[in-house]
Amino acid sequence: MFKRAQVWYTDFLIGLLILIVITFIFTRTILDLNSREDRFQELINDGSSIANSFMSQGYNKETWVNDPPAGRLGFVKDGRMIKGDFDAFLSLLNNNSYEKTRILLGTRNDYILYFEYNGNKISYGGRNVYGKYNDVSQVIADNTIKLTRIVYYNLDNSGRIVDMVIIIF
Amino acid sequence: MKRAFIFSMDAFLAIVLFVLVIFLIYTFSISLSGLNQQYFFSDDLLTTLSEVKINELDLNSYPRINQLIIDGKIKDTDIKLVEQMIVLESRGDHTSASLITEDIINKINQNMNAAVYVGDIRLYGNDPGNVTNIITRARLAVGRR
Repeated sequence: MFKRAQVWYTDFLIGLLILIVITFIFTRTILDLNSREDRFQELINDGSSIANSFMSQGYNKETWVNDPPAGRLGFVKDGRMIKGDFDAFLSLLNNNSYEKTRILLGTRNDYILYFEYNGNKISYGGRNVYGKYNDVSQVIADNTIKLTRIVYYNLDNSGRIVDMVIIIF
Repeated sequence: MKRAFIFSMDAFLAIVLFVLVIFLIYTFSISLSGLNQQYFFSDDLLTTLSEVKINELDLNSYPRINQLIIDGKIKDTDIKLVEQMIVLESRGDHTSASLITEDIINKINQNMNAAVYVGDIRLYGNDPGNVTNIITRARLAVGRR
């Protein structure tokens, strides 16, 4: 003999509601992970581009101060820092033209840059961090990427092979 | 009319399981950064070793290289670092060649597992062995004995 099954309509609705809520939360979780991964990849690509720009020889540094700025921002040739080009870059920062450097680098992210030898930051031009902030501790962001390049540094007349650290956020 | 039952313990276990799954998804999702940093480190290091001469270094910052000059093992400071490493290695002075490499790399290599070879002779670092990812960069260099 077959017994009749029973379905309670209220239970069915509550079960359906719970399923919808769980599906919504799960989908949002997966989407959040994907967007976070995309953001990381964007920062990595941008950071590599910025680092490669810095590691190249600058072009038309006289036009970096124009509005809009023109040329290419860079101050390294054959692994050596070029004092004149770095001084032009420093001049942009000291004259509140950080946004011009972003235009020259072709980035919509922010960055800071510093030089490090044996774990210690190197000062030049009255500061040891260059970019949006004067201090690394001022960087507060959900996502940051740190890239390190190696250069020969002789701006302070003590030739050393140092780390050039770039943080993009 | 029959009474329905809600098993609160079942509902609680279901919620716990769901929260656990969400937590595990976040915990084990890994962002892979690629090998950009390793590539940059190896390429930049080769470039600077190939371009910078010994007499361009502030020897106060490189005491081991300075000592090699004082000891007469480095005779010509107007040659590039990589050339000097090759010269020393070709003379069989493996120790001095390694000291040059260590003096340079120990001050910049903060978080990287690196090894430097001249030919098939390791001057710096540990044998890579069985690693998951490895980046190799090479340059052709010349040194006169």
